[in-house]
Amino acid sequence: MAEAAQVTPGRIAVRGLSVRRGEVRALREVDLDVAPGAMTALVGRNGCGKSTLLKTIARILRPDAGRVEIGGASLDDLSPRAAAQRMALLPQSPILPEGMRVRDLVAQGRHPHRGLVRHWSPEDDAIIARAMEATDVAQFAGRPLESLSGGQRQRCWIAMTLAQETPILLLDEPTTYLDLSVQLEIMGLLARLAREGRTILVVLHELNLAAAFADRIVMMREGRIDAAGTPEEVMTAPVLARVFGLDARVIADPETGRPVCLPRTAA
Amino acid sequence: MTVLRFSCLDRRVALEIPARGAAALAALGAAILALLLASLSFGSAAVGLTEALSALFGAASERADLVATEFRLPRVLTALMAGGLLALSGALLQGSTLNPLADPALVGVSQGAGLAVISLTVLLPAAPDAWRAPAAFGGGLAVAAAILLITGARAGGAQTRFLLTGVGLAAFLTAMTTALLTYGQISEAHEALGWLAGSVRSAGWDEVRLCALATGAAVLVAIPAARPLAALRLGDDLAASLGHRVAHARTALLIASVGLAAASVSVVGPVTFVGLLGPHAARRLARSGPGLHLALSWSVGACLTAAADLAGRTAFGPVQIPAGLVTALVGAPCFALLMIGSHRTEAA
Repeated sequence: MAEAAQVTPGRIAVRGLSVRRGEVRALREVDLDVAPGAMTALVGRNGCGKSTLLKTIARILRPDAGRVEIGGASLDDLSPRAAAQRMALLPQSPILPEGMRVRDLVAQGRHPHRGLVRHWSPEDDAIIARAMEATDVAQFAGRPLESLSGGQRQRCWIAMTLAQETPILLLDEPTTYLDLSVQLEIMGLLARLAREGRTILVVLHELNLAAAFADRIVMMREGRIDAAGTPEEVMTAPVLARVFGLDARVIADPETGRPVCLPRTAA
Repeated sequence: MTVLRFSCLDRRVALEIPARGAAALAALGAAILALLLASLSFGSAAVGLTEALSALFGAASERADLVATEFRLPRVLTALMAGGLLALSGALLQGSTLNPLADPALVGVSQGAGLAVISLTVLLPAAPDAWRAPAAFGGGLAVAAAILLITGARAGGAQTRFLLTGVGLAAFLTAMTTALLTYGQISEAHEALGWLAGSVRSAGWDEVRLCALATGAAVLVAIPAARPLAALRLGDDLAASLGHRVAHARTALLIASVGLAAASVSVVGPVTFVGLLGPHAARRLARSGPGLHLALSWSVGACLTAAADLAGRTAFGPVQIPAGLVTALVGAPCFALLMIGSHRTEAA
């Protein structure tokens, strides 16, 4: 833990990262510094490489060149278990085991902290309870996940990643297939977790959701980072035209001042 | 939702078991004991239950002692352990491939082990019986490797391909076995045929020793298998981000599954449906984590096979129906019922 004391544990640094997926160059020498203790949204068109970047940071995919550092340590030097104690991932469509109860699912987050035959401890119980409190799912603890709504279920998955107790949280499109009000609720939860000091890197499809909640936005195009900065810096008409091929106006939300993208729909 | 918790050694060992799972395990343990006693007692030469019990502790008449402990005890012990191994193998295979239909006898692992043993019996009749187990393991492993090579060893979309490849290989291997038997000497072929039906008829203490060894190995495998099995249930990506080496874990679980199936097949032949039915029935009995699930699967498999052998040798006596035939006859409709039941609960 000596190196973690010198460097922020929530820091992610990507250097010269290239990844091939089959014949496609999904990532081309990407450099990125993800701000610690803040929410960064990764956006871009389908196939721009945003999910590939997230998965490579999460060690699901192996880079062909370049490296990823988390908390100052290169991923290559960390065991899978050590990496799992530093960052948690919520994939886009995780498999829900049949009949699993909420508390049992959240408890899965304790995996990287468990021993061969040590399957529970009072500390684990406290951490699992805290994770369920933080995501407001404690009242469902004994219920099977199938009986919950999509938003409640997503909060349970987030509780599972929180139980992993990592400074870094990676999420791949956590709002897809959810009602708009539930999308806002999930993003509000993530923003709160970021304010509490976690580094959150989230792939999002919905631009305005990213602009309304994220501290920073990273826009990707053809395997490269095209623009990165605060929502105000990158949500501009020229950038949107270049990255998304979108003819849009950008106005400021009258209440929050955050940029809002309004695509032109008039013929 | 009551959960029983145990810890010892300064909480280095700390396990939790849902109360219902513990009850199911205890009930299965009682069923195993009951089957053991019934198997000692029932048969062509009747031995009283009390006599069977005293024979176990070496205090019965010479005749009861001979029938119960020399003939019937090794047979029922072999049936229990071979069945348990098969079910455990099925549970590991289902858990590592996330395929609920994976069964060593369905995807060709048992057939591969069987073909290897038949080849040995027919082509090298002089080979000692001790060669059977390693031959079965080699045959089973070769099939597992072939399936993985063809399907690309991936979870998710490859599940159907895994199953189809396995079923195809199983059919091919069965054809090879039949061809081999046709060309083999009549005496060897006859011996092999009896073995192929899945029978514990000739089981003696050598078979018990081999099964006990494999069961011991199974326990050593099951303990470290529980954690990766739990993580793999959530999908490969999540398992990896929870700190597991997914590819390594899957390969290790597959090899363990093949090894256990091969040990069982080398002793009693390819007994079908136990590897499929055991884990499914275990899941029905109690909601459980993977560790308890493995223990429940073993117990269900043991009960199924011992009950099948008992039924097969007493129902139509003096004709003895091999246990493998009974499990196939009983297993197929049972499995259909399980499937219908699972559709109902999903609909509810």
